[in-house]
Amino acid sequence: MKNIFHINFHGDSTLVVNLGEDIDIKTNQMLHEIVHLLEIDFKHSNYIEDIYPTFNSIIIDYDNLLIDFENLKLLINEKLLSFIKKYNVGSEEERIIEVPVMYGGENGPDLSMMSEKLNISEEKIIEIHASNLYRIFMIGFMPGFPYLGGLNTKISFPRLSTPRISVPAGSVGIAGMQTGIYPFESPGGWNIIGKTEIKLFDINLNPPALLEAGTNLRFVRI
Amino acid sequence: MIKIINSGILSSFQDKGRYGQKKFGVSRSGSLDTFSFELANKLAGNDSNEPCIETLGGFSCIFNIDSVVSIAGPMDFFSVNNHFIYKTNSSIKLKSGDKLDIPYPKKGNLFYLSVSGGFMIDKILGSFSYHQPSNITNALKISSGDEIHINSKGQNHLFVAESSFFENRIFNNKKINIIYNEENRSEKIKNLFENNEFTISDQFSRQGIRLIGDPINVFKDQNEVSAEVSAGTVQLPPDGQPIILLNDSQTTGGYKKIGVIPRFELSKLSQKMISSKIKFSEISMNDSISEFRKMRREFENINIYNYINRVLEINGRLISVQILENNSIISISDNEQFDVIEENFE
Repeated sequence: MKNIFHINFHGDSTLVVNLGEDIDIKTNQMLHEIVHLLEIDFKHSNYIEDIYPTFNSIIIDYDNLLIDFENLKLLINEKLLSFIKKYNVGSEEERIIEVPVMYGGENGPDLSMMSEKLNISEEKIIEIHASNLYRIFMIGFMPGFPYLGGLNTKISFPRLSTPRISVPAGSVGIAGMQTGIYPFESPGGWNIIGKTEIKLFDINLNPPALLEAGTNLRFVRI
Repeated sequence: MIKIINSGILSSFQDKGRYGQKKFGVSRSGSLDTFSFELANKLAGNDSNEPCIETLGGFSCIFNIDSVVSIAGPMDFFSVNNHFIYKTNSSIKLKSGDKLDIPYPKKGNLFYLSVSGGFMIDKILGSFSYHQPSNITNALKISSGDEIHINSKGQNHLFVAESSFFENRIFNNKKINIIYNEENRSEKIKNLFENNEFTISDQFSRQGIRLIGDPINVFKDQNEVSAEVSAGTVQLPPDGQPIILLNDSQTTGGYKKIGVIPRFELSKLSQKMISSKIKFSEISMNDSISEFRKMRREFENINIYNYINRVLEINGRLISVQILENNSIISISDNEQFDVIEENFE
């Protein structure tokens, strides 16, 4: 199999494994399996600080006083090569988490405006939004915030030109080709179409984030 | 127990940070000036990762228990009972009922307060560090009126640290080293960055610092996929004004990345005051690590002196004197004049 990954540095203590330029589900699937493998392998290591996935890369923060980049690169390279040899596409079990959403009205203040500008009824927007299966590509931006792939292009909509000072926790929004949920109250420029009561992040749970990168999500209208 | 009278602009608990949580979207947090943080613990006789209070100053609290405390950070003076004043980077003994005041810093941004024996607080997701942008660690933020229990089984000795390491390495140097990202490194970028002087703007938080300079308009159209960032990442948004991310930054970011400020420079950077100037200078990864090791060695070798504190009553006035073991005097302070006479002890 050809070398499909590329290892680079970001500063003096972060190593980046790139698995391609595009965002595609197959790459992302393999990436999450590699992350799990590395997490297990480095569980007891004293020099790995964080391992986490993005859309198409794996990020490893390390203690640069305990290991240098070149040695870590060799080690990761070796692990990845042996993994890729054994890897079967789609061997991963698909998990789906359902998120109940109250759409429109007070819970989705931008739905009527979107409906007008897109010339699609509110009902139809909700139906489209709640019918797709979304891939959780990564968690980032803020604790528990999912970057979802799979929005139907018909309901893609540009960000608000002026972000709101405060978006309530649980708000479900659309920005360009992305849809997502705000785990906490925060400023934000996404078009809010609904709200979930589900708690996306709880420090008393293990893991604290309800959603996990590499799994799937479905919005369920309530 | 200590009772917080005034928490100032922002005071919070910090340790060396939170690891293994980035996959949940939780960044590292942790003390911004790790060297001053460690020094505070050293002077209080604590483990190097014992949580400290990190404060932007204007902080005031009352102790209801005898305790040894230390304050580290930029050169300044803190006061006890509005009377006696002491140099930062030293520890002092407080009696039950004493009031401690930490001023707004004049030569940096952040002070670290450590109590000998440590604060009795609970970890959140494996760390004592407050994470500013989320509300998940609010219990680690300090507010006026808070009562915090402390473990009084600490040491009794008083120490003062020599300040030359901090003066040279952290507080009097406007050069900031940068490791460029390979894919965006070019002579053009390097020249635009290094021949420019940048001002630290007032958009400065635990999440990052926005710089102001001649705009570097090389990436006007950006359509980046959100990807890795870390403490020290230098982003260049379309407006051409760089942003340096700090410990509480989001875990992924979508702006173009120019490079990273290496770890050994982050203490210096976080103590740069608003409106001060910085100048970037390229460093290789290998050199940055040798420099980090060298700095760690220098830090480990900072001279720390044992001293005693005498309070004398002269003509009805109380005078506090800090005396080293070799009988030289560090400071004399007086409850009426607030003057400090310093003798060079280095």
